[in-house]
Amino acid sequence: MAQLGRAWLLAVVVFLYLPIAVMIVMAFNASPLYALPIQPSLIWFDTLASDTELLDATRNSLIIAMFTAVIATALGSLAAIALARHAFRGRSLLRLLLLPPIAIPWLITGTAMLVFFFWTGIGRGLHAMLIGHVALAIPYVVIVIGTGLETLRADLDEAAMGLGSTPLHAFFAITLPLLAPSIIAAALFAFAVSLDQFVVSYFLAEPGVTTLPVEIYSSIRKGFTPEINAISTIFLGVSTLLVLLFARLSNLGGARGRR
Amino acid sequence: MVGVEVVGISKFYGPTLVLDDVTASFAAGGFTSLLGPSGSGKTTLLRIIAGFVEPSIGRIRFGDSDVTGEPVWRRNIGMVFQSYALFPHMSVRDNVLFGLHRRGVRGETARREVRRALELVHLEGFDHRRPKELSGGQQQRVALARAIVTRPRVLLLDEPLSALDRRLRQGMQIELRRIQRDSGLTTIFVTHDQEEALTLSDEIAILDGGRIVQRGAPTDIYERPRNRFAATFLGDTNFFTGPVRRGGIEIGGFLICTSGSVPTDRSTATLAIRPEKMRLEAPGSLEADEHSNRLVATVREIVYAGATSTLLLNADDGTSIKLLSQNREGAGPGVGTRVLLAWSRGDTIVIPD
Repeated sequence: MAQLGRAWLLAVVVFLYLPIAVMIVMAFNASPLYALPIQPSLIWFDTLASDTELLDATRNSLIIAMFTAVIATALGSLAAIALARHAFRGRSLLRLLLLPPIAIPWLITGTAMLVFFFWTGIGRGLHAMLIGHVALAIPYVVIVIGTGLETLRADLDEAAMGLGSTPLHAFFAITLPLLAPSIIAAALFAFAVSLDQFVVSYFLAEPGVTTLPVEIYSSIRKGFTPEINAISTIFLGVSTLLVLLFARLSNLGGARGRR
Repeated sequence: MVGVEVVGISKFYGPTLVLDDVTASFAAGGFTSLLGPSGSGKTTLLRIIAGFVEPSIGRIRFGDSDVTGEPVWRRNIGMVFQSYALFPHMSVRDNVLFGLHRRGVRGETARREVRRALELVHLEGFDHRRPKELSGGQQQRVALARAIVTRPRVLLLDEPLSALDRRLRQGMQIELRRIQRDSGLTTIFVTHDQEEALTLSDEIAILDGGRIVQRGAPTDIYERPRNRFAATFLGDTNFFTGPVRRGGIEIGGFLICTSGSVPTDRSTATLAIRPEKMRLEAPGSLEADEHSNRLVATVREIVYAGATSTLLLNADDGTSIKLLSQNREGAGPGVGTRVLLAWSRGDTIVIPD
């Protein structure tokens, strides 16, 4: 039984990783037609280095993702703290309202944003994409930090106040340092949500100014070149690192908050 | 060192009344326990004194100063929480330093105070440990050191020993009492553990349904409970309810008297007697004297507990009786035996119903 279970798990892992593995291998294969046997080469990374469109899009993606991480984490943290620590009218309704945006298909969110931004005169472009990504990332941030706050006992704040801290001092001396792992995890999450975002970016991109996912999509339509494999491999490496970091930090947050 | 006084404190949570016009004073330097079941309002009263909860009505005074509107952080209290609430990201030393820094005490003076506090709780050399590297009992001591290092006006303890196992708890009770005496702090201690309250306190206040139903010295409260709740919450009690006759009440054909006076204005009355005050008498010594009560009962069950046994008996009218006997000699009476019980009239208490 245990062996069957292991075989099954192995099949799932293969299913998850096989396409990615093929892509990585092909990024290092000189043949543009995916011919075997593989001829190891960095030619596609070279081509990539001189492809300004793809590089510009990558730069845009990284800039938007970084700003999204900072802004969404700042706004989302405050919302999470308000929800966890303060009783006010309509709190449960507000908490509930934070969840549907995660479930709403991005196509619909994207359409709604496009209409709204057009109507308000915000228009399209990098700034519009940034606003859109921040809005998409905030619910995730609230959830991640809310979970972190739950493992953090409220009586620590009270203990600090009993010792003479004002609520503000207690926040900076006690809550914030203990919440740091959750905050970093939330920021990484927001960064990943933005970096990964295609649909909303596609709707809000101006011609000529796009993010990497949008750019990859249009180059595939023009004709697939293995340099897409190269850039994808680079991104894969970076995202894997971020996810591992996230797992590490969120785990850490749980362990530290227990006592 | 100052005393604490609460005057006419009521607290509503929505429509629910959790404290009902509580007035009490806590002597300077004294150790007072607030004892009651959960929901009696004892924790709310403590949190009102601390300043975490605002009373709906009433005033709180520390010595001569009225602190009712003052926030917690200006009240200069020391509080120990049930969960200890040590700051997990700080060393033992930084935990204890926290309150001193908030009061602007730094440098050599602060270091000396921390050393003194850690010595008081016998935790010298633990300065650089993190809370999670300490045992429950040690964390408890750090929490105590952190609370007293600032020389607060009042020390508030919210069931601080309830998370410890029994053996450790008994050790900490003695420690706590010593530390409280050495520091001379006015101390208010919330507990639902009657034994703990009896062992530690100068005074006990029993709370029920948001009111203080009785307060006094531990012996006072235990020996002279003023009502049924106080009698049952603090220790075991036998209640005898029967028709009033000739200055006593009648139970199964025997007259039970008290050195107090039985109310004569009604047909029945209730008397109470602690299980350990009763003794088994040799049969034949049936003649009554004016100092003791006698009663024949049948042994229903014997609960053996090593040093003592609890005998569950039935009087002839069906009244259930509990007797605590020291297992001094060999075999006592067996189940089903009819035995003669005797106890002093002075230990027989009138319970107003």
